[in-house]
Formats: sequence, C-alpha cells, structure tokens
Amino acid sequence: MKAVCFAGTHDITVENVPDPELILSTDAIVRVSSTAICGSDLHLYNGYNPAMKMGDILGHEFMGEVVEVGSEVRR
Amino acid sequence: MAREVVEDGGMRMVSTSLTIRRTPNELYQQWRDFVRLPDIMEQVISVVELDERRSHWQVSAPGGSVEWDAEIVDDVPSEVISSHGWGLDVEHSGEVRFVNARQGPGTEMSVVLRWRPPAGAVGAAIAKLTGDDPARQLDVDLHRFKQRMETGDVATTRGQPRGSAQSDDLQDERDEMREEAVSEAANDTFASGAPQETR
Repeated sequence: MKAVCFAGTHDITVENVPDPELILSTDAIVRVSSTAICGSDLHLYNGYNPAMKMGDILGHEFMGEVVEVGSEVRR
Repeated sequence: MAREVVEDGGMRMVSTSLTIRRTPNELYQQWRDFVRLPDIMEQVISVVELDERRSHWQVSAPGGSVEWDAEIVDDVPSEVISSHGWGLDVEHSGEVRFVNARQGPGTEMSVVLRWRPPAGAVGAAIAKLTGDDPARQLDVDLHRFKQRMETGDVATTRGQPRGSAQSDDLQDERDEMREEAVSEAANDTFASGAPQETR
C-alpha cells in the first residue's frame, strides 16, 4: 500500500510499504478511503513527540472500510 | 513531558508526572510487583526479588546487558516506593509517588530518577545504556504503563507496516508478536480489565 512516512523532523516521504496483517486477535484492518491532517500531526511533523520513530506512518484521522478482523473482534 | 537536569555535584536527574485513571492503590500494587516491570520498561530484561526489600535487575545495553541490585528505602502502600541501587559503581536512586488527582478521578503519578554518571569504561557503558535521551525513554515507558492500567492493553503499531527509514525486519517483528501473544494468552501476567471510574 502507499503511505505517508515520517523520515525525521520536517521530512515526510510517500512510499510503497508492505500491507498490514492481522497479528493479534483484537486487530482490525481498515482500507482507508481518505484521511485528514490533524493539529497533532503538526507536533509529529515538528518532532515534538518523543515516541515517534523513523518510518512511522502518519494519518490517524482517517475514514475507511473494515476489511478484515481478528477472532475476538465483535461489533 | 519528562525533563533532565544536572544537579550540583554532577548528579543527573530525570523527573516527570502524569495522571492515570486508576486509584493510587491499584497503581502502587502493580508497580510494586517489580518482577512485572519488564512488561512496561523497554530496557529492563528481568527483575528477580531477592527478599522483601532487595531485588536484582538486568537491563539491556549495547552488546549485552548490565546488572545491579536495588534496595527499597521507603515503601508506603498507595503512596510511595523509593529505592537505591548499586553494582557497576553506579550510584542511582528512584522514587515513584502516587497522589489522588486534585480534579476528577485518577492519580497523579510522579517519578524521579537520579544517577551519577561514572567515569571510565563503565561510565561509557552506562552512558550508552541510558541513551542520549533518558527523559524520552521515561515518557515512553510511563505512557505504556498508563495505557496498560487504563485499558488493560497497549496499543501498538509493532509488526505493522512502516516506511523504509526504519530498518528493523518486519517479518521478524511479526513472528515475535505472534509468539508473545500465544505465550501471554497462556500466562496472563498483567492486571487487566475494562476501564472503570476510580471514584
């Protein structure tokens, strides 16, 4: 899939990355149709989030369709 | 966020606090069970209790690990746990304090860590161990603790896609995650349960 990736402070790249996989029984995979930029994305972009790692994928304000769920996921 | 300062006499200190929606007693009980701290603290490999006050710590370091003994100095249920440690000529101490949040449910948890960076080869090893940003490490660890305590689980993107700037092998990480999930299901070592109001 295509993804917007963090490559360092003020450094963002668009790349092809591996597709997600169900790993835990509580996981869900969502096919993203669109995503917004949030104010907190600016904190990430400006390098203020200590937990941010190189390569992390941005875009947490997304909409999409649930395409796969783990065995413990209920409606 | 945590901050790091160098005190008079060369001691270094990192301190931080955060609010967790659990009672002081719940947080105290979980933290006091040192043998489970490796689930929370990324660098800690294992903690073995030697007796009621003393414990032996093994912590990852580049190319291996370092070990030391720690002894509890102050232990007041629901309020405070403090300890100091020795081994490797490293002078260090830690204090964790739990106070009812002034507003709303929950607890203000504060952590203060102090250590004296030793000189020489041992000092270099310790410097690597604590990384170039111990304040960041403490924040990451405490947010993991908060998530565990509030939701019974930790949200993670480990094992999921990321950009090429991260070189860790994705397949290895997925295999590890799946193995851990199986062993955790067989041996659930961490308190869990639905989030609940604490007052």
